Amino acid sequence: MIDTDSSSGLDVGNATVTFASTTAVADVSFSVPSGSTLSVLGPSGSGKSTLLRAIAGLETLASGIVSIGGQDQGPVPINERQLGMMFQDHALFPHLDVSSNVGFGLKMRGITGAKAAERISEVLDLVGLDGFGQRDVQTLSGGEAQRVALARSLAPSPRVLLLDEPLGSLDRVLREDLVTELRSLFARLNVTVVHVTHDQQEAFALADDVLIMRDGVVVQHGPPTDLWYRPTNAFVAEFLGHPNIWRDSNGIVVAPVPSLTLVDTASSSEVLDVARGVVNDVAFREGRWRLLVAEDTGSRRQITVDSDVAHAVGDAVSVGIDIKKLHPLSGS
Amino acid sequence: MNRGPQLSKLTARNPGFGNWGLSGRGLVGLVPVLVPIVFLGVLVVWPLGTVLTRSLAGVGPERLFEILGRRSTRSILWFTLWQAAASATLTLLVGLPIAHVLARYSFRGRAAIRAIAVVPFVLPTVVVAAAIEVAFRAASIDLDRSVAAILAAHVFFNVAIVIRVVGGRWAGLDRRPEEAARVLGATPWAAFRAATLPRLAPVIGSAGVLVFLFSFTSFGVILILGGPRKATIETEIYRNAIFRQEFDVAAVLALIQIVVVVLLSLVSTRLQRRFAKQERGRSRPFQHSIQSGRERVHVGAVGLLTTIVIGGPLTALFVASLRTGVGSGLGVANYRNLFEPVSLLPVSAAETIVTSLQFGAIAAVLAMGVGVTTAFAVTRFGRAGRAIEVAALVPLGVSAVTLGFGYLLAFTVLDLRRSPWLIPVAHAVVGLPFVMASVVPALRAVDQRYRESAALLGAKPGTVLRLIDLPLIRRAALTGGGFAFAISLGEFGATSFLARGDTAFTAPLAIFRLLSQPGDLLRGRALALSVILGILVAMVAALAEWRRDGATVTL
Repeated sequence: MIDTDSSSGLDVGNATVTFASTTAVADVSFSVPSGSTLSVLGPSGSGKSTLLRAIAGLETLASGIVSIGGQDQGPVPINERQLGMMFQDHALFPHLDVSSNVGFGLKMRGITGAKAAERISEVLDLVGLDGFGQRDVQTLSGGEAQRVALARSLAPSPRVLLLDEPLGSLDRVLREDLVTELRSLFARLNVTVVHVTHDQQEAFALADDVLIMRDGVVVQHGPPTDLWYRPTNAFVAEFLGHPNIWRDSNGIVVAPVPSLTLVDTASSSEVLDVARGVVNDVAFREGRWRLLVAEDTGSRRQITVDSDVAHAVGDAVSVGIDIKKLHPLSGS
Repeated sequence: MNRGPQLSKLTARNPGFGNWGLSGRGLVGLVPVLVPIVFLGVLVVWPLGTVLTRSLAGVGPERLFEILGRRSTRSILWFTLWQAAASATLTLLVGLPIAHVLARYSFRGRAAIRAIAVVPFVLPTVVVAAAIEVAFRAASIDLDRSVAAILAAHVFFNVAIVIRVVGGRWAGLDRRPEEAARVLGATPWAAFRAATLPRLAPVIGSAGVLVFLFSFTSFGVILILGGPRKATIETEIYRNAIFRQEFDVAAVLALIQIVVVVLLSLVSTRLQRRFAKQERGRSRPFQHSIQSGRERVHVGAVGLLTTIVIGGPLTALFVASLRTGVGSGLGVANYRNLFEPVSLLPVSAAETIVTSLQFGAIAAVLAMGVGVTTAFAVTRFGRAGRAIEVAALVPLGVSAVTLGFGYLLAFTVLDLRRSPWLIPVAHAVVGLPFVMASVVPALRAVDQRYRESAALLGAKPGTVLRLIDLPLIRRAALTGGGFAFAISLGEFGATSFLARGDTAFTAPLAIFRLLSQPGDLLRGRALALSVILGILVAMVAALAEWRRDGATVTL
């Protein structure tokens, strides 16, 4: 079994990173309890990768603090921080074979010989690459390379594991398999993980907590269910993939898909009319119907509904939602 | 996300990482910068600076204009320019069809033609001169040391540049615009002219400029094939400095040379930049197999042309080295004679080979050591690094003759000029650009993430260097070192200015001296020595080429 340091909670306080005149990360604060996984989610250019690199020490903080197990990492050189990091393009050392790649961190800590060999085969086994030790890294498939990269960062028992778009270069099926594997692996190893991605599904599947960034600033931070059902603004709702967002008298409103239903009867007191009119366009996606409804008032609204009835252009529909499930958002 | 600025930031600011060449360890951290500064400062900047000072200040404006205005100066400059222009034109005429066939057709023997065509470029100038001279004699063309032999030698020597530079781009050129033109109704020739030629023009121009530059600074070929009457800037710097002690005239000629070379380098850089801008990224090159009879004739003719132009002189040289006189039978007498002492040389001809090999080894090791260190400085230190890179590439443009003349003028202190060590050191300077051309791209190609990963896994800056950078550039360094070795074996220009005691007499010097005197036996020795030197150089270059893997040497 791989033991990770128990005192490996990560605290980031008011971290700011600037490049020339631009601020890539602005006053970001959060904590990751020991053994839990945080996904940092955001579009490209949001500063999420820079934040990760700053935790690693690859970027210098203009201000703020990064501490691990309560200890300020500012004065600690990169090579003494005892972190594991996995890059999107895995960055395996091309001149070394699989076991030398995995053993690199052990060698740096003075662990060599039989002890290292034992450890190397242990982690390779853990990531499902038993017997790959002598392979040339250039001959590995994308998924195998990513597993080797994971084994390499896990081998020296890092205090915190940093993942920078770890599955970004893999195709979708492989990605979903790996996400499942990673989640059970992290739970088993009880390792503290910070994971950066632009993929909402990957973040939700992997993380205990999700932190959403935009333009270097934290927009929202919380467990996945909180984020999904209580997005703080339209950006978060849209970025997480909410299809039903609109403006009404209460401001911006989000309706989670399952709560949106077709209603036949006139609105009751618990149901709010969302759209009533004629279907102008239909698309069936992922088991849901996306309808473009031309309303009697003349306006057109795009909505996505759960429905097992097939819809066609020209159908008259009436869509409503349980008022209690509506989430009014503040802000624009 | 834009990583470029972040990475450079990383190098510039982070004290813990990135700029670990200067990781606060005082002088030790400065080594990558100090080595090239001292080496290039003493061996390039100082001697060339001395030449410039001498020509501009030492001579005095009055004398400078008097020398510039001389009829002899003008005719030297005129001949140098026109023979270079003629050489460049002819080389393009011979080289472009070969480049086209190699770039666009796949056929049996393609690799062989490619290899043959590149051989002359690595051969020592004195060997090329000997081969052309022999070929002209064998064809019973007594050109009485005319320009034709010089031009033939330049074509022979430089055709590889056209094939490499133009052929390389041509092979990588996207064929779709040409196909689009064909579909729109253009004939093959019209499609080529409309869609391909404009895209090739900059690189053809660039290759032409390069050949012009090499012909402009050609020395050994003209000295041997041109005889005493054909005078270029290079040969006259040599004659004025060595035989006539006319240092002022030599310095003024060197000034002209430097000015022309700098101007041409600027033109060449602009052309290359234009090409780089024009075509980048995605391309769909293609080579198709020979289909029609016409294509077969075309490819066959070009193959034959290559074999005659390149193989002819080499074969003639080899055959002639087996004869001791006109009409004599074939035998190895000339080779046996290499071990006999001869009054023209301070040692036997065979011993000069040993000297050359020793110098080559020293020069290669030195060029590799300095080259790798310099490459680190170049890739790590932004603008300062670029200045160092330019200084390191100077010997490629400014001729070895000018460099040798600079040593003659500058190294009067401590009698440095007479030190036999100066020869391999000078060779290392000449070979340095080749090491740099090989190592700098390799080092730039090392993914910054490898270094970051290693550091995160606990490697100290020095350990990252030892376990990541050095292993990844090892091949490129060996390739560059191999080329430096080959260049040292054939180096003639700078060597002819330096000490030549019995411990420092190289094979190219011996070939030159044996060829410049009448007599079949001396000539026979020169030819035998040329064959041996040529084979040695070709072997070293082939080995260097073979070792390279991903690392590209570009000129």
